Amino acid sequence: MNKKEAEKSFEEIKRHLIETEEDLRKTGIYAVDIQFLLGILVLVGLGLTVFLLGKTLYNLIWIVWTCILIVGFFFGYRLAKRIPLMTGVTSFAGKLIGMVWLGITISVTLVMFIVWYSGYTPYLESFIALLVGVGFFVEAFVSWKEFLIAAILCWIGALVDGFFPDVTNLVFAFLIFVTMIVPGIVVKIRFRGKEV
Amino acid sequence: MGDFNPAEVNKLIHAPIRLGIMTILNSAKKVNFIYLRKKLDVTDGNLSSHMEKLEKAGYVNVKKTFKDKKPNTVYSITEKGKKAFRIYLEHLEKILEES
Repeated sequence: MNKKEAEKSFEEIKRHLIETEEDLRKTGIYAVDIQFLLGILVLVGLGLTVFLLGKTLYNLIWIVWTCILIVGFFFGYRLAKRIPLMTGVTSFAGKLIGMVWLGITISVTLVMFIVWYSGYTPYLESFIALLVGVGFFVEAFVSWKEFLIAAILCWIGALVDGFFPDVTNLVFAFLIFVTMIVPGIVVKIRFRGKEV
Repeated sequence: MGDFNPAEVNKLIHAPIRLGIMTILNSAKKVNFIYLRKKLDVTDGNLSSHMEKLEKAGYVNVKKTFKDKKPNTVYSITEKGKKAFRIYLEHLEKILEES
């Protein structure tokens, strides 16, 4: 092989790398569906939590959240399994992000059980916001940089939740709307017709 | 690498289509047949024959499943394939440095 051939091969490799990287980034369009679904479920959960708190039915709150986690996990898993079938490609980064969010979901589930055992605390949302912030932080570095804003918002929200427990549900609902529902809509609009 | 002979470059990987396959598989975890066919702009038969060669060499893993009753063939790179691709890149670098 001569230099010219080597250069040509390098160019081919570079082209394929750039194209594959772009396609892998685009698989995030489908992953946003999961976030959107979880966002809606959490907002429903918050609504029910506020309702049950008003009726002083504290013991039912953990049941609501356990149901939401089960439903979220089931449909989230189904949506995640759909991604490689629709795009034809699975990335290491996608797998990593999936595992980070799975870890966060398991952690939140365990927190729910602790809350069920020890009683409701207004700091619950603060703790969950911290965990969700970690998920967005990792995602920002392996997928879209914009998620860094979501991570920072979650951490600021966790602080606000911690210092002002009276408005915890309102702050948490705002966080979920801004970090999960809005990105879902933005990504869908931005990448309409540009799927892999 | 000091006594490297350009003729030693892995010819199995060097062929343009197979180079594309190895590059894509090296950067993605798994890809299916349709994705590769689209990206490399090749026919089914052409891609199948290249994949067969790479599979025989132990560079790729093949998993055949069904999606909506249609076959879905998924490929991934093996450790042997990753190593061969890395060596191939080192050889390319060597050629460019020496020229």
